Amino acid sequence: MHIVNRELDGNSAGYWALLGGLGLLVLIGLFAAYNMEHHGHVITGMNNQIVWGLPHVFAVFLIVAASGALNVASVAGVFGKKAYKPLAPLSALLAIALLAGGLAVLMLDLGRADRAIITAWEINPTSVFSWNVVLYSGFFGFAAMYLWTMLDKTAKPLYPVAAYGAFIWRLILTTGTGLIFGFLVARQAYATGLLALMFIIYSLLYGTAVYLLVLMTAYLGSKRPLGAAVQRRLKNMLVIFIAASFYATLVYHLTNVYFAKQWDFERFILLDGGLYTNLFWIGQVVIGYAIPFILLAAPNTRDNRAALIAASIMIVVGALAQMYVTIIGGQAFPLELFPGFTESSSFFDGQIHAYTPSHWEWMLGIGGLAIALVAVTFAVKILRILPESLADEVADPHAK
Amino acid sequence: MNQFEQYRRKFIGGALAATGAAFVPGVMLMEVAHSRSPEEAASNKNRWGLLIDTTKCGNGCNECVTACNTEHGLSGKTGLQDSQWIRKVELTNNKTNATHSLPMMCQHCEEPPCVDVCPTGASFKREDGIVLVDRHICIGCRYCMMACPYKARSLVHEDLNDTQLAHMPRGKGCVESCTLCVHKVDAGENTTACAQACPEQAILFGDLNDPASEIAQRLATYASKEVRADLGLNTGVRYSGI
Amino acid sequence: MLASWLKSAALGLMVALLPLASASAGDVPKPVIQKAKGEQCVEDTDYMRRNHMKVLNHHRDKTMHQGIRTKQHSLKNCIECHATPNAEGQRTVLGKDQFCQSCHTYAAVQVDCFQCHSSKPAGSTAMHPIIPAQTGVGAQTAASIRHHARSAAPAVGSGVSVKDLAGVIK
Repeated sequence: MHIVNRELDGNSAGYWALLGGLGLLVLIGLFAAYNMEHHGHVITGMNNQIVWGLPHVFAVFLIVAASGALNVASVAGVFGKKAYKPLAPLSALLAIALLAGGLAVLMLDLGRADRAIITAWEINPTSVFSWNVVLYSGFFGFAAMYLWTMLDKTAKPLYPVAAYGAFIWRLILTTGTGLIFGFLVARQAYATGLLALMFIIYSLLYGTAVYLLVLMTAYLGSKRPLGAAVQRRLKNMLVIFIAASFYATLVYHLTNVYFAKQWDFERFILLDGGLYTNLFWIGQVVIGYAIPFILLAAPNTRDNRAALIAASIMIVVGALAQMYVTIIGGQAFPLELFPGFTESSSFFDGQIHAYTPSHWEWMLGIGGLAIALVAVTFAVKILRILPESLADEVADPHAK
Repeated sequence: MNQFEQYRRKFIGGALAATGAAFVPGVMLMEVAHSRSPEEAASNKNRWGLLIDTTKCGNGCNECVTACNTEHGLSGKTGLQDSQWIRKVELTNNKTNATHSLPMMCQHCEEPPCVDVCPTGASFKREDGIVLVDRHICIGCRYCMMACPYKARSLVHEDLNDTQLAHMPRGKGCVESCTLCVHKVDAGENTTACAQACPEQAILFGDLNDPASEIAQRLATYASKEVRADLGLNTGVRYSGI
Repeated sequence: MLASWLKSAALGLMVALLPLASASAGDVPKPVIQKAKGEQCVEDTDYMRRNHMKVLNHHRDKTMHQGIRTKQHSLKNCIECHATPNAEGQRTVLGKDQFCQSCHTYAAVQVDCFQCHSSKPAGSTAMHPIIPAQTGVGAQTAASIRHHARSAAPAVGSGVSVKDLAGVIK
């Protein structure tokens, strides 16, 4: 049966409340950015020890999820699974929106945000951030082209270029995002190429979870039919990605635990790091991997829509916990300048570095998330992104 | 004395004077051979560095820190968000409990990680080895702060409201660190504020590329180390006694 | 065609209002150019008016990256001559009717330099009573005073009021 994409009606009170609420969060985020720029970072909780804080947790999460959100479209376009084709337009749109939100947070957090534009011509070929100027712009280009080929029949000849281009580009982009940290030789939490692969695997998990939540919200909210077949496919992907993410995390920590020089750092993350230990075990492992896996694999819950939504929310919570442990935990543990010695100084050498996010950082981070979501909410109303129906009769090739 | 003899005396006297005058510029030039004129660019003929003798460094002495703060107009405060270009690190041996201290600042690496990661090239290494931040193009992303193995960099967290010193521009939102007193080096003073201030002369400034310099001779004679030598950064700041 | 009379009427109205526009333009105070030290600037006045930014931009890169510190086009040297005493007697290029700010306010062009660069000639802030020579408990710093006095009176001894700074520095 032929799938028809139609704009969301977007006339309900619920829709306008969502749009208005997200819009308000965006304004609050922009207000926070204005204050941070005007007064300087002195008003934030970031300092000379924890230089990247909560805004970066949100930003990197959004960027990693953006790359992964495109995966649903890639499965259709690159791997040829026709059943995913109706899901592809939302996937491309979400990828663009999430990336825009993440970049907005990053750029608004700069110490000299007014100078952000000079990164377009002041280029350092060894800097991942310089690569990212090209990678992120290219990603927008490819994803937009991909979306265009899906919405406009006359652009169909470009479809393979867009699909393959976006897929390969997104792998390079996520590798780059992981290498932002992986290339930092000095810190015990980083300095490994493994981070590039971890981020690719995490992106698949986070992106699919966010995609699922947006899809569910759109279809339940607009009362369009969403069948079990689509749900099952996405659920299967999530199960595999949870397992892969857990595996990647395990290998990373196992290797660290093996090296004597990394024991202090691993003890900090896994045992006595207080907040970081809790966020790792409870946030990332239990809430982010274990419970969702059980919910999505166990026979009595795996076909349950509520369980799917709950699992996706938990995966997102686990994602933020993982980013917090990686980005902030990695900075909280002090640099070891003199192995075998206990260091102390006026510049907090040898101490676990303190960090309490200020409300400005929460406002900015959530504002970035809101930018992404408000863009999606608006776009599905004006563009033919969402199929009229994803009921089994329509979406499942094996139905009837 | 006849006219010829008078003439001869004048001639010899003049010749000696001329010879002396010819030597003087040569002598002066030798003395200031290492000082650049203002229109001359820094070159890799020089590589500026420090040798710090930690055996002379006093636990609890902060003269180098105070001197640096005064020289550059830093507040001297040590809160979480305050800039510290140099700090004294007190070390205690985990097994023997022996203590000693040393000053830690930007190590002016040959292969600086901060330069590798800076997106705009604001963090750069000058030809003569001094690693600096070009605050005209610094966007305040703090990636260099993440990358530095020595925690040398600080971000200026708030407006400085025109309290900067004329020779040391620094501003809100940009990252900064020890400049190896580049303004003194360029003026030909060839020393740093911390080296001048140390009461024990534990800090020695000099040209690592000049085999005749005191620092090069000391490095060639006595054992010295880079902090985190395992990273292979070939730092310009070396320590002895650690 | 149909509304050609309307067009002429609109044109006539604009012409009639023109003197009003230039009259309000006359309300913007012309820049006050105080006499600087020395006989003349390092370049022609005309040349400087048009090109001082290019000159400064080029020179700053040479100074920063190559360590070339010739005085001819250096910002510090500009300030040496052009910083004239303000109402509090402090030599500066910022503040009402002071050199840089005066023209820039008139031209409505933001001066980015003084976020980092001192607006005072060399030697003036070294004597600044607020920057302590020693670190010590209770040593107040300029930064902390400003932070707390942001909306109130200008900080002690600054010579530049927060309100004046606001016109040029964000």
